[in-house]
Amino acid sequence: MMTFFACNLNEGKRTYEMTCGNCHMDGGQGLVKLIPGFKDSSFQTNRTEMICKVIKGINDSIKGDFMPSYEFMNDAQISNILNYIQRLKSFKAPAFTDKEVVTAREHCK
Amino acid sequence: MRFVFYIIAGFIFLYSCKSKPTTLPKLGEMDIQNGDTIFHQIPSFAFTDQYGDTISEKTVAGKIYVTDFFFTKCPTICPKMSKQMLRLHEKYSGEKNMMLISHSIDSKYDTTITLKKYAEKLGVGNSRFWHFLHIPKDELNAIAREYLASVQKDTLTAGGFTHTGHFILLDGERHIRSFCDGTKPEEVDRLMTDIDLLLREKSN
Repeated sequence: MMTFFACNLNEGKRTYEMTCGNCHMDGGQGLVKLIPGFKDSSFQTNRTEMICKVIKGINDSIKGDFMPSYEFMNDAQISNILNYIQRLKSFKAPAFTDKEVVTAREHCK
Repeated sequence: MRFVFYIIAGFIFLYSCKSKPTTLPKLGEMDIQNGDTIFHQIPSFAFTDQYGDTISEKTVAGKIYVTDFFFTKCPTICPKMSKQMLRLHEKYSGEKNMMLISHSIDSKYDTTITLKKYAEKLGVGNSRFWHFLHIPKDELNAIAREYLASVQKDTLTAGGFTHTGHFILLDGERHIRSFCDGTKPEEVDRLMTDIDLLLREKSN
């Protein structure tokens, strides 16, 4: 069971570094005000919003905020990424489940 | 006696390995006209920066500059390049005879206003050292080619463009003198030593 969990985290690391890390940086620190880092509180309380940001991306031309959509990723890939970020930043929020991603996906606008 | 000789010869040998080049080559295609070598030079240009000001060959005359190609919506290598450009900004923004120039390859989305916002978010909103240029679509390929940079519209790539992540170093006469992979900190360290060399060459 432990091995299985570690495998998913490794998969999360790989996917994170291939896609998210380009902008959010490999250490998850972001870049000045251009790209935000990650907040523990968002992982605690805005869980659906976090998932939706990955799925839908951000496109706010007024603020000049942009993040690509990763709608093509499957539920496990998304939960693996979010869980990897939590480990990377030593966050205390509970792990994301695939089911949580499935439910959020239905609610994302 | 012989032993001492070897020791001294050894030291000279090691020292010669450590000695650094005193000048940088002029890169790109060269030509010979009437017995003179004509080095590759970036031709005259005029583009608008994030303040709406025109940046041309007159603006860079006598200044060394580091340049790259990017776009603000780029989800692949650009933020890593911007991070390294910020290092150059931090170290050299006091240099009067130097500039940073980033060419945007997304003429449609990266308007003057978008470029201004991008600069602000990078914390260089008032910088007169780092210029973000809007390049009209039909002029992009020509200017990229002059900098020996590859830039291409590519619908299969995330963001819609593939482009080089290189930083290119130019001297006060728009000759290419050095370049490096702008996504790698250690490569940019090397470029910094080349910048220092070129700045010294200029002040001599």
